[in-house]
Order: sequence, then structure tokens, then C-alpha cells
Amino acid sequence: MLHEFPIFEAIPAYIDPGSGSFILQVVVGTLLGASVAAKMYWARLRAFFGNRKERNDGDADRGE
Amino acid sequence: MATPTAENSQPLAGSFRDPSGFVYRRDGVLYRQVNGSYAEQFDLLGSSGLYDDLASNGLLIEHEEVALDLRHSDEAVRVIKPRPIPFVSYPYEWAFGQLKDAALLTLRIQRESLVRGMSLKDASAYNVQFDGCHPVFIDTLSFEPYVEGRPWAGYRQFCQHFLAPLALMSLVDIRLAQLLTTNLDGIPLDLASRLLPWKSRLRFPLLTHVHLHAKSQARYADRPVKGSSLSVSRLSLIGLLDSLRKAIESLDWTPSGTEWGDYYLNTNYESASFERKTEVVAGFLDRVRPSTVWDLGANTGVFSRLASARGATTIAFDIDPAAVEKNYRAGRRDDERKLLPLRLDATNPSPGIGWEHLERSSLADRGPADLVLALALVHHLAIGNNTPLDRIARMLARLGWWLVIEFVPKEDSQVRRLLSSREDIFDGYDAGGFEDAFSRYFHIEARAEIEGTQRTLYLMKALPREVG
Repeated sequence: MLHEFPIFEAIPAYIDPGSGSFILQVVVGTLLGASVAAKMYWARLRAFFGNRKERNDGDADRGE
Repeated sequence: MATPTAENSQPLAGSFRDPSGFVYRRDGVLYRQVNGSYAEQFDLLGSSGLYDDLASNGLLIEHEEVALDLRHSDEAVRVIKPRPIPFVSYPYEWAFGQLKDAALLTLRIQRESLVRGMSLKDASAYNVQFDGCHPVFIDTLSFEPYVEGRPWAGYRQFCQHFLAPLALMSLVDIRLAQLLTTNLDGIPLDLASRLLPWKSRLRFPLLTHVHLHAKSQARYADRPVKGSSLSVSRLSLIGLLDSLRKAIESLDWTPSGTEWGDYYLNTNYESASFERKTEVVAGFLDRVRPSTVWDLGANTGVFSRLASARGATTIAFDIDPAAVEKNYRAGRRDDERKLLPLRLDATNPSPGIGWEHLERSSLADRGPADLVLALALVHHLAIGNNTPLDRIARMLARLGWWLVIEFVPKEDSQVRRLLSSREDIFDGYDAGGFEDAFSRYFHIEARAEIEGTQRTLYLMKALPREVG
């Protein structure tokens, strides 16, 4: 999540984003981004196993 | 330097910070010019599909592109004509729920912008206006292409304009909304951090976006961080936006213990008198047929709705944040487009503030209204605020062409209550003195007693030279 990126030369903002606000955004954003990623993978994992379970259940239904 | 192309074209006083363009009025019509430096970004708003997406959902003000001949200055490469908002209001006049809805709108727009490869370059609360009770984003030039890795330039502003005031209003005191009047770029986060209760640190979003944010600002103030190699991924930005949304959603304020919240349950109005008052006010409105109505002392908007239901753009002002909040919630529920509740102290109405006193208009400069409703108000101004009757008449004549006003005499229980703790120094406060004072500024067109009370309703028309 941390990339090579020169900060202030690269923010062509017409308002002052603020050094402290920027640094905090990077730190907090990184944490929150990791949490979003974890939730996404967790959801995919659940979907994967959910599907498998559904498929198995379906097979079971057909077997009856 | 660009030269004005028309003398009848005047930029709006509050539209000067962003070099991308500005808003101006030409022959009474509102336009926004897009400067050459912003042309590509502006075109991307359309070609990315973001404009259609936001405008069709009522999130962004609709506009049409008009001929470049209508530009204000030579820097223009496009001219757009936004749908006008009938009454411009400011965050320091909004109820808690209005500021909260404006915050959520800003976050939603930023999130949808990211999906379309764009980003908001600022997050000012002044970019939101209310179309009745419906919040809408009005700054069409706030969008820029999103560059992977680049932080959100509006983060600091969002926390100052929305999160800090909402947290203070919710967790400390609703009256702290007034800090927005003296802090046009939002509430400084170090101030918010100091005023918030210690327990607010236990909420992760407030701990980070307010308290640690303030500390980080203090630590890195005026320190360029050149050579640093940090960036914010798109996923991190989405995490940040979700966290801000949760922070805003978790803040609430319930109007209770209101000054006037239960006014209608606690007055000397019998239901028959109340019906009679409603009937008279409705009759006056039908006679004048105003297109704009300002209801001063509107409480929760019972009488304002008589005007808005008749199609008048109605602003329901009240001093009590709880009454305004209740009015707004009801209006939001019913998707009211003609009624806008706002907080206003009639004894100290919103002044002209900001650059040259012009950036944010005073209440009077946003008028005059076609008709002013002043029901159950005059005794608060005359007795509660020691304002002589002729000064009240003069002020009301500045605000509107027509006036529907209720005179509440000393015999009324509400006035007796006001006088219970003080000496009665108001010798001229009677129906005769009232009519004399108001006749200097108005022609009395009609008067109607309200049976069952000692109150009188008047319909008055301002003498022409006094208005505005």
C-alpha cells in the first residue's frame, strides 16, 4: 500500500491539504485500506465456501 | 488579465477561490464560467459518466451548457447555466440534520467520483445547498481526475467543515454550531479536540479523524515533507471514506427539552382559535399569492406549510435548534421541495461575513421576500429584546413587500409570562401603539381578531420606498 510518491510536489490542490492532514491520511488510510482488503478477502472466502456448500447441498437434493 | 465582456455581468462575491472558474450573474441569470486551465477536467466530468450519474440521482445540480458569448471574461472556454437554487443558505444556519445530510452527500459524491476515476478537490460545506429539504451539491467545478496514489485534498476540509462541528453539536452542545459563523473554513481541529469530551477518544473514527488529526497538524505545521515516499492507494481512500461515513452516521442529536418544541401543546390556543388563525393566514396568503415567503419564528413550520403547500418557496426560520431540527426531519421525510427550515435569531440575523463582508450574504441581502410571516413573534422582539415597535416595523419592511403579523397584547398569557420576572417598562405596547408604529412603514390592508384569544392578525403592504 506504500508506493514511491513524492508528496507535496505532486498535489496540485487549490486548497492547502495540510502537511499534518496528509500524513495522518496516509497512516490512517493505510490501516483502513488494510481493513477493507481483509473484509473483501473474507467475503470472497465465505462466498467460495458458501458456494461449495450450496453445490454440495444441491447435489444432495438431486440425489434424493 | 481578462477583461469583462459585459457591464451587466457581475461575479458572485463568494466565488473567487478556485481558479477553475466562477459563478456570475448576467442580466439576472446565474452562470458559471469554466476557465481554460480546467477545461479537460470539466470535460471528464461529462465523458466519465459521473455528471449523468450524480445529476440523475439528484446529488449534483443540473446544468446546461450555453453559448460562450455569455462568458464573463476571456479566460472562459465553456459557460454553463446551473439550475438556480431559490434561496442560498449557509452551514451556520442549518440544523444538525442538515449538516449531517450535507456531510453524507459529500462523502457519497466522493465515493462515486472514485469509481468513475475522479475525485473531489475540496470538501467545503458551502458546496452544498438545500433545495427545500433536499441537499444538493452545487460546485460543478469541484471535480478533478483521480490520480492513483494521490491523497484526498479535501480530507482536512471535510473534517473541519463537517465532522468537527457535528461531533461538537452531538457530544457537547448543539449551540456550538454557531462556531461555524466565526470559522468560515470550518472548526479548527485543535479547538474541536480540546472541546470534545475525553470519552470521544474511545470512538475510533473521532480518535483518528479529530484528535490524532489535530496532533498531526500541530506536529507537522508548516513543515514540508519533501522526499517522503508515502502515498494513499485507492483502497485506502475507500477505507478512509467509509470510516468518515461511519463517524458521521454515528453522531446523532435528538431534539428534546426544547424551548418551543411543545409550543402548540402549551399555548393558550384552543383548537377552535387555532383553526381560525390557520384560516385567516391561509386567506391572506391566497389574497397576496406570494412566490417567496419568509416565516420568522416558524417553530416546527405549521404555518410555513400553509405557504409551501400553495407553491411558495418558503423559508421557515426559528431561533430554536430543536424546532428547526424537527421541521427539517418532517420535511425530509415528506421530500419537501418548497420548504427550507433554517436557524435564525431574529434579534441578531445572519450578517454579511467573509471577504469584504460580502462572501456570505446577510439575511436582508438575500431578500426581500414577497411576504414575511411574523406570527407570535412581536412580543419576543418588543418585550424579550426591548426593541421599540417602530424599529421592528422598519426591520420587517426591509425584509418583505407584504407582512402577515400577529399582535400579541399584554393580556395574553405568553406576554404575561415574559413580564413575570421584570418591570413593565413598555407603556406604548398596545394595539394602538402597534398600529401607529407599523403605519409608518406599512399600509394596513386587513385585520382579523382571533376569537377565543386577545390576539389580532394583520395583513400589511410595505410602503414602496421602505423595502429592500
